[in-house]
Amino acid sequence: MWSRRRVIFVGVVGALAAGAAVVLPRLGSSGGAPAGTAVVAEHADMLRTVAAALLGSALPADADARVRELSRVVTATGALISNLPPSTRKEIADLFGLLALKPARALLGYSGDWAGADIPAVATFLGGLRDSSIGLKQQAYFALHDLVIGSFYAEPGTWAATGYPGPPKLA
Amino acid sequence: MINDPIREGIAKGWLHIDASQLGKDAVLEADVCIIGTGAGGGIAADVLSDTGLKVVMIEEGMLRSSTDFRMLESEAYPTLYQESASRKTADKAINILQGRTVGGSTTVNWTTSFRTPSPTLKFWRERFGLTELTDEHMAGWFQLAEKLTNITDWAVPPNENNAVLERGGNKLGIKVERIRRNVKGCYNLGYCGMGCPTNAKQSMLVTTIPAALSRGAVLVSRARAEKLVFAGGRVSSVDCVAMQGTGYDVGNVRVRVTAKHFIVAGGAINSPALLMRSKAPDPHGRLGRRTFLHPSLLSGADMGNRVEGWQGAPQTTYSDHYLSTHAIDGPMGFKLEVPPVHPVLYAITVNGMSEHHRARITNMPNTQVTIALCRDGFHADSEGGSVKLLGDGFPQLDYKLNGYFFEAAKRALLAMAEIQFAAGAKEVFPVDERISGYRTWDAAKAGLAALDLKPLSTRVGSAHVMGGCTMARDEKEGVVNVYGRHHQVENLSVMDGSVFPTSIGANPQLSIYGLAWRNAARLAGDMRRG
Repeated sequence: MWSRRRVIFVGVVGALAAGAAVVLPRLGSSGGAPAGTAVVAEHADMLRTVAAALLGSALPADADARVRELSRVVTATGALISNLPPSTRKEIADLFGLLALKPARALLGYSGDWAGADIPAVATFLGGLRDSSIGLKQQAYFALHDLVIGSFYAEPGTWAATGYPGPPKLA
Repeated sequence: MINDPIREGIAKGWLHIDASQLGKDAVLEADVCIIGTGAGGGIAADVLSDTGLKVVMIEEGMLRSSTDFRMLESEAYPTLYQESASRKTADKAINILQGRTVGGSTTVNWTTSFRTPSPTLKFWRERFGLTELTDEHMAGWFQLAEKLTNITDWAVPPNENNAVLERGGNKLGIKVERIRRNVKGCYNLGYCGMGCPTNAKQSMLVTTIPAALSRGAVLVSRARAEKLVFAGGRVSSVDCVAMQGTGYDVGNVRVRVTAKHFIVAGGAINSPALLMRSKAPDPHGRLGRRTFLHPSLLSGADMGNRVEGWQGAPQTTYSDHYLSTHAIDGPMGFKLEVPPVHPVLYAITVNGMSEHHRARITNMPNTQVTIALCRDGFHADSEGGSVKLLGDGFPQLDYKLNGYFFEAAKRALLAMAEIQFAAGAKEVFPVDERISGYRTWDAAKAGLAALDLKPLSTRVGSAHVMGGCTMARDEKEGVVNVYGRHHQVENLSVMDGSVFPTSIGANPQLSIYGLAWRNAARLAGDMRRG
């Protein structure tokens, strides 16, 4: 595992040092594409924290309900990733691997831990990725954004608050 | 109770093989093998089987039908769309909606039906030597397709989402017209993009494919055409691999189809990719080049009252005003339309996160969305994208959004904001990460004027993929000729949106139907004569 991450890390340092907009596949490690369930299981703390920052008050206020909802989002994200092409799954796994590696994510703008993280600090980090002039950082933001937010609002239980009644009943 | 003609047909003995369920390799033999079952493949299967030819259809996606279409984004995107509706260009700046199921994009499109615009055909005649493609010549083919798919005027009033475009346009003296739709007995539900649950949409799934199957054609779903096998300068067979599960994993089982003629109809991106994997002749380096997307901008508006963009026929009004404000080969023109608004697609499209995002999505019932589809491919600075193969043979489209595009994008965002304000919008939010919203038209003008639009920050989408196997009279300029026949390979045709040498400048389904019908009829005649 270390060698794979090291490869990614070196790639990112190079890309960021050059200030270039580099697409993720170029940083790709060798090896097969993992299943979505395995990817999210390995990075559940990061995903829960990122989801809390991206979703904000969309999540339930009640602590237990919030934990349940975040777990649901992580599971749904895994299912979503599993249905993507191997090349995309590998890119996502590489991105998550990068975020798991402290020096790499510090370079991206966040040096804290994922478990027990300060959510506003993570939101600031994500905003920084989004507003970056470096394509790689923006791509990272949109990947996290779409996976988490798509997984959240796919669940019928989230619709009432949006005013969406769900599909009509057919006779 | 709504009938499911596909399940009924299968029960009656239609020949469908779900390759993911095969226990061992299979070999099939046909007169014509058609790879892809969307707008082009569907028409070709119908026309060719009708002349008595034995047809085998190969489809990578699943066979799903009305019983399966439960109007849920969580089910529709992963099962009916390429890459779970998140197919992206190489730099991730454009999200592409493209079908991946039996019926292709026709199973999930929004039923919008336009003939190929006259200026587009004229450009093709002049620039690509496609002199036969006049309005008069094509009219007969369009009429056949319109009759088959019941393309007619839609008499029901537009939903509020579409009415906003019409009202705003009328206020400003911008012509807004009604869209014709390919539906029969439509319930006006608004879920066309998730597969029609009532079979009202006259897609390939309920028209041409059943017609071909009822004549004994064979449909193989969940089989990916990996490559065409060449022998003596001709295609001898197509090698397919059975897919596993619902996504993109492949199994070990192989399916091989031999045929006299092969029709590639996998849609733009996938069709050129198949030819690339097959190492098909490409002496002039045209394959995969000139791939177009109608790259589209989005503008949201808080109308201050109920819009409910999820219900009612999704696309019923449009404006071509901005397609004719400049010459076709001048600054890029754009077509205005309205998309349906459902929670997942809206939530991942609207900008911002946390509280800003939540405020937007909890106001979804009052939200109107307009889109501007940019007509790419008519200017020297609009060469489109190039399809490339990743290491595992999977295609990726490299499409650069350049200054020529962003000049049009700026005009498009301004035009949409002006119309939305004219229709009574309280706030307009052109979708760009740096725009939190404008309360007045003056504020929108000033804000947009000061903003440097750019990839990723400015949201760009596409639902129309065209080109990559372009047709041209001169083999130096294209992959296929004016009949879709491959310039270098005698028994190979391409019949789908990938043959278009520019974008269409309108939703492409009817353009594909008409041209595929013409070319399949021609091929049937050629094969009869031997």
